[in-house]
Amino acid sequence: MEDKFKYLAKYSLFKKIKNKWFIIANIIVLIIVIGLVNIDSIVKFFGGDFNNELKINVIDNTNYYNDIKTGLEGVSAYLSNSKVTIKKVDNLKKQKQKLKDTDDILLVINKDENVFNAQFITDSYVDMTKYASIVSALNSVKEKIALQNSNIDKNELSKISKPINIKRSYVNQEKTEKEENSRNVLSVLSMVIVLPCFMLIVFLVQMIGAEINEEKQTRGMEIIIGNVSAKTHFFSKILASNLFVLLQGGLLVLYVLVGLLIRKTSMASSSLLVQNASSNFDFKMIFDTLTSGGVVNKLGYVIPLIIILLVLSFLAYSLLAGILASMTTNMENYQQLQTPLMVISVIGYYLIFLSTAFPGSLFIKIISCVPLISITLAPSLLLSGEISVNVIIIAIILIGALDYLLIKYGLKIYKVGILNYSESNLWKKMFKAVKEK
Amino acid sequence: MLKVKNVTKYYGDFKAVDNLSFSVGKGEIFGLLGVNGAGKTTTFRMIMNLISPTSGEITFNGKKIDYDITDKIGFLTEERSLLTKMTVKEQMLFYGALKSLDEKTILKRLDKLLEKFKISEYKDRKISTLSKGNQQKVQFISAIINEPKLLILDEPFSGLDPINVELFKNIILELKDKGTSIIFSSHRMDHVEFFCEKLVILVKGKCVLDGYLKDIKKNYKIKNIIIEGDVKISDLKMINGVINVVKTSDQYKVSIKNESYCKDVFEYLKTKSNITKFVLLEPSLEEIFLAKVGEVYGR
Repeated sequence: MEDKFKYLAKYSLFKKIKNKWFIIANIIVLIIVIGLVNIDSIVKFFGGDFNNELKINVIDNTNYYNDIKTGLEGVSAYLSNSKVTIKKVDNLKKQKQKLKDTDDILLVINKDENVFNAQFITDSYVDMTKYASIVSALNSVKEKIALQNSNIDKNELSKISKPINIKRSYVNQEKTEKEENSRNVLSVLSMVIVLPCFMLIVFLVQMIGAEINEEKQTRGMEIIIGNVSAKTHFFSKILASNLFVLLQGGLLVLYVLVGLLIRKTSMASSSLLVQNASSNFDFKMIFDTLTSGGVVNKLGYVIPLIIILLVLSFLAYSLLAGILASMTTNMENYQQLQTPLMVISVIGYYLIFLSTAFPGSLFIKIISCVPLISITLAPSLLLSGEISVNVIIIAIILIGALDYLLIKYGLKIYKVGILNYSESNLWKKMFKAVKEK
Repeated sequence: MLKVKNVTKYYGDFKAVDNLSFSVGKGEIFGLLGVNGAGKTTTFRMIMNLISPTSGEITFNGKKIDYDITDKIGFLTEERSLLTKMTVKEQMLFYGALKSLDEKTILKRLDKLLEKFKISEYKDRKISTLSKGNQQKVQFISAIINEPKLLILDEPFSGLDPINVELFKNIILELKDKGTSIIFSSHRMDHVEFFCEKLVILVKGKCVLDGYLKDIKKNYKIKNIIIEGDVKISDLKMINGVINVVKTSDQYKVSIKNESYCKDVFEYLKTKSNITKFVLLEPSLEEIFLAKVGEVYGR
């Protein structure tokens, strides 16, 4: 029987993996993941209503050009997609003509009682960020010149222009600023990780349902159950589907790595344009933030707990899917019956977003322990510091208990369900099966 | 030997099988007959260990049926039990493995059987693309790929043309000669009559008739006389002991209450000059079946 169990699990797994649609789906997913990881480069590559080079021409009638140029150079910090070039020009009429059909900006600086004023000239509209950052830079320059002109001592002037020094401190001595930063990064990342989780649950539920229904509909189940026990059949499906999910999860990680590799390669070899674009999403910086904060190290004991929660949750979903599939007589019925399961799996995802709006919500904390929801909610809340490790442990205990109940009573339903081809008195039959010793 | 002893099966309050007993010896073909819903499928399912009897016992060679024993049983279900997305080869490897066979043995046997059933060219074809008859052949092969000691055949000739029926008949007889115990179920009484030495007729889960076919026929009092010649149906019906007269294309089938009334019919025929055939026959299984089932249903 052990050999048959292994055979059935292997058969079920390989049937899925060797299927051409699995290969096609994974090729598509690979392309999408690589695309998402490199989305900024792709967007830039295709171009659009954005200019990659921002030319600011300045007609200076004030002799403050050097200060203004220094100030405007700071604009690049806000417009990281663009390379900013600042040039001193003259002849307003000629420069205005030159602006035609370009995104260039012409600034005419004139002296007035408020140090200077500026005329902002473009051919067309500019986006808010560009406008605001240039205006902000000019204001800063104006303030600086005004202060210089007010005969304030150089040292005092330096103090005024120096940014404020903020020291972050915590009553809890174990807390550090680096950790805080890395937690913030991690909480954003954890939301991203939830999506593949949901995707894997869908894979899992669909795989089990399709297989069991196929065997039932063709009556091949009679032959199978004639040769292996329902228990063996059930657990072979559970094992195969969970292995499949692990494999698919591993592949998703691999696809992300491939995407990152392509990103790195393209950054090293592609044009300046792409390099500039890519620098917006600096994965190395994110990784450095995470590791320097020590969160990754500190979470060393938490990560195994999260993995346990994931495994037990996947198990629960697969057990439920198997039980529901055994009760249905065709795929259409199964699709309907599995809908609540899918809805439950997305509840957690929505609650993650709600948790940012309602930090410390007791309701969300309680829901994060609820089996089937905890898989998508609890890890994210834990990583963002919303819940403690104890809550995760409670979630694990509850999902473990659900798994136990599903195995104990679900198997009884499965035994009856897989050989039942009639929908009449279905629930009565199932309740009766549960009651049987 | 398969022994079904006092087996009863309830589904809730519904009694699907009622105190059924029979045995099938080595190299015997046993008929399990009944109208739809008589309890045949439930009986097969209990033999296959798919469901447990509420009471009674089923043993094969003295042992209670478990998964080691089902490895030695072949089961051809009435409805197609093929995974139609698979190729013929994949299907056999799958079912063969479930019967604890290794791949090499399965493929060796498969090649032989495909040749025997004249469908070697379909080995790598998807089952869904095969005709109904060829699917039935594949299903039959899947039932005997393990060279079973006990073979359950539920409507084995379904979807087959007369030529393939003959092919199946020969293969079933070959299996019998090799010592396979066979339980055979069919609505075609001529097929049952052709194969089965022993049989059970089930009505509403209860056995209404069982035993050797030869004895059943012998003990069944109503006999048939086949007559060829110029006779009148109305005259025949007037004869004492005649129950019914049916005219076929060139013959008359006269049913009589029992063998003793044969001479009354013969006396009548002596008055006719052109009688070319007069044969006393045992009743057909179909007649016995209809009579027995009819009794229960009050027809």
